[in-house]
Amino acid sequence: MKTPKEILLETHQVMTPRLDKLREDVLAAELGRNSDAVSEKRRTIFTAIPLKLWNELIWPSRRAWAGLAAVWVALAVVHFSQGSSSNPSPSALDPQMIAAWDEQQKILEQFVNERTQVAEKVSLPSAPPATSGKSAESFYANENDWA
Amino acid sequence: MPTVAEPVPLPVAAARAGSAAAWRVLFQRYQLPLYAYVFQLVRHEQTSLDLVQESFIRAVRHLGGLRDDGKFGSWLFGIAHQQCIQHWRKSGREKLFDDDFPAEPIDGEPGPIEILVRAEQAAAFRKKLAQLPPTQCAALTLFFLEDFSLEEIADVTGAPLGTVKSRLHHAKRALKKLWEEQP
Repeated sequence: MKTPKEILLETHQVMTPRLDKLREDVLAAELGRNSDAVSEKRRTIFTAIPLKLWNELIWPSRRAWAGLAAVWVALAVVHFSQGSSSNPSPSALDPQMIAAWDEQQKILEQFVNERTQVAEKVSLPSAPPATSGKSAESFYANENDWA
Repeated sequence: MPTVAEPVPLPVAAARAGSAAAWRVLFQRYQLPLYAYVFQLVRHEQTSLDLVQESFIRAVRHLGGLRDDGKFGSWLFGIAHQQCIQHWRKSGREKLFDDDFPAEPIDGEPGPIEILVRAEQAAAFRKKLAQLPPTQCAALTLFFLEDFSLEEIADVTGAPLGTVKSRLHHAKRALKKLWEEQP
C-alpha cells in the first residue's frame, strides 16, 4: 500500500534525469550570469572613474594643466641644479660653529652638575628609627618606679 | 493540520548569498514535487518542464524578496503556480482555474483523508485526482505532496484562507467518493 504522495512522486520519478539537467542548466546560466554581471560592474567602476575624471577635469582645461606642468618641471630642474651645489658637506662646517657647539655642551654639563649638588644638600636627613615596643615598656616601667 | 518540519534546515541564506551548492540542495529537494504539482495542473510533460525551469530561474533572481526563509517551499510552489496561471492565460484557459462554486464557510479544519493505494491502483488514483476541478486538484495535490498547511496553500495559490479551506474540504470529499465508487 502506498500513500498519495508516494504515488504522485513515483509517477514522475522517470523525469529525474531531465530535471537534474534542467537544474544544472539553470544554475550555470543564472549564477554564471550573476558573477559576470558583478565583474562587469567592477570593471566599469575601475575604468569609468578615471575616464570621467580625464574627460571632465583634465581635458577641458588642458592648456592650463600643460602650463602648470611646465612650471613644475622648471621648478624641479632649478631645485635639483641648485641643490647639488648648495648642500654643505660635513667637513665644510664653520669652525666657529663647532666651537660654539662645544661651549654649549660644557655649559649644559656644568648646569647639570650644579643642580645635582644642590639637590643632595637640600635633601632631608634620614628619618629616626621607629620607637620599638620594648622601649615603650621600659618607659612605663620607669614611670611606675617613680610612683 | 500539522505541518511537517524540515528535518535539516534548508540552506536558504547561503543560496541568497549566491552559493551554487546551496541552490543545488534546494532544487534537488523540490524539483520532483514541483514537477509533479505543475504536471497535475497543465497535464503536459514538456510544458511542465518549461514551467519548472522558469520557476527555478525566477527563484534565483527573486530570492531577495523572500522574507521568511522557513517558507521557501511554499514560496517556490507559489512561483510555479503563477507560471501555470500565466500559461493558462496565454492559452485562453484561465477560466479553468476559477472556482466552480462559491466558497462556503467550513467549520474547523477540513477532515483528514486517509487513502492508501495498492500499487496496481496507482493509475486509477491519478485518474480520479485528475477528475477533480483544477482548484481542488491543486489544493489537494499541495496537501498530498508537501503536507502544506491551509495558510501555506493559500500563499501558494493566492486564494483567501476560507476559500482554500472550502476547496480542500470539497476535494477530500469528492476524491473519497470517487475512490469508494471504483469497482
